[in-house]
Amino acid sequence: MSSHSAFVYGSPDELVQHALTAHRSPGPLVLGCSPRHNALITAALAPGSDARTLTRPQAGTRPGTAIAVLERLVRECGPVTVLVEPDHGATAAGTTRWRRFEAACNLTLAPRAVTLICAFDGRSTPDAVLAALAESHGHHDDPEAVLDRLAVRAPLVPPPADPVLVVLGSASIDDLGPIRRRVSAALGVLPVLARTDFVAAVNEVLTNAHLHGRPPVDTRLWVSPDFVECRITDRGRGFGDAGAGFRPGAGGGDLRRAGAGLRLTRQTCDDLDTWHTATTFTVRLSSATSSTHDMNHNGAIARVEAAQVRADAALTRAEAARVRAEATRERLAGRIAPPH
Amino acid sequence: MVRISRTDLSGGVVLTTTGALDAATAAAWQFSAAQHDLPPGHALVLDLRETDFIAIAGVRAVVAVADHHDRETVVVLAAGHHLRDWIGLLDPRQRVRVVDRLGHALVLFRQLQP
Repeated sequence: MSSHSAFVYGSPDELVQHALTAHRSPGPLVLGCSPRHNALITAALAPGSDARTLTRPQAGTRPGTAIAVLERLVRECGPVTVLVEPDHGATAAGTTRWRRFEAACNLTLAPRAVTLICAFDGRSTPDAVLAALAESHGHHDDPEAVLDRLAVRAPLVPPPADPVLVVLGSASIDDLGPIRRRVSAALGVLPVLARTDFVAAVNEVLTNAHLHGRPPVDTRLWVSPDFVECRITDRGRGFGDAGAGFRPGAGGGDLRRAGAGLRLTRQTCDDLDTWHTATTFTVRLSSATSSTHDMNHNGAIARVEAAQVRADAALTRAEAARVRAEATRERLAGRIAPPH
Repeated sequence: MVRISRTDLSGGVVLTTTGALDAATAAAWQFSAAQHDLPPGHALVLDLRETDFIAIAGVRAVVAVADHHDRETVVVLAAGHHLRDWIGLLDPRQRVRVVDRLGHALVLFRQLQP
């Protein structure tokens, strides 16, 4: 990464001025600020400027996705300057996610030609956030060390209520589908996207437990109106790498060889924590569930897609009939001379 | 359980998958999809819109099948599916294209024909 800096502004005018200065760098300027600030900056740019906008990174909610969005952007744009106001979370857990996001940016975007500027409103940003800026901006700490500092090491206290699903002693990868279906059914009250995302995350961790851990594998699921949590425990050695799932690939290598499952997991749930005991390795996944936007939006998408599937099935049948008719015509043409 | 049904079209073969494509089923699906003979010059269309579930193991199997057939391959996957980007990330030869409608696949593989 060309640079990753923090800018603390005292007024929207200061933010706009900083954006205009940043736009002198090569490549387009991409804005991921609040909608109001995106509009102010865009209005201040010269007509015809190469500037684009994206949704403000939800670093305090789902850091894995926020990073994936930036990575995709950098892949598509080439050299680029990105000015964002990352959501740093409203709770201690949210702030921890945001700190992971900032450190992980230094891991994943390191080889890319991107100038990343994270802007914070000095009038409203909590002290805990401002105090943590130095660890990942400017002459920042080793991102691996930051992620390691933020990692959970000891078993977390489970949620107070009983789990809604407990599956103990799974010994075969063939259990994957049945467990996944039970998890999906237990999450039936959730918005579609929240459910499918979380099931995808659970599936990848269960897959790792079966393929790389040691059976038996235990699954416990908690669902409350605000959050969902799943703990998957196997008897293997697990891993202690706090950057797992944030890096481009396993060991910083090629995603095509390994590491894709944990990377997907980071993008489909809010938290991925791990810990060891003397005999077990546990992965904890959790997500907030309060997203009415997802519920409405995905219901509409699902309905459109169902209609498309039906239309395309008809298209397939029509095309197949056309091919058969053409073949019949060719066969007949061999037997019957065309009319003169 | 995962199943494949085949439809032969002019210029392409469509393999439609139903069921779940995960670490438990991907190997069998990959073997089965690789067994289908493709006429010379025909593109391969893997229609995954009717699958219940696709995991990273499934995406790897899709890429392996495309590699096995050594053919231009079009994957049909629902718009907005969370694994659309992953196919591009996990395809070393970048020969797998992703579209969201079968009609788009038909147009694409006609364009691919010599």
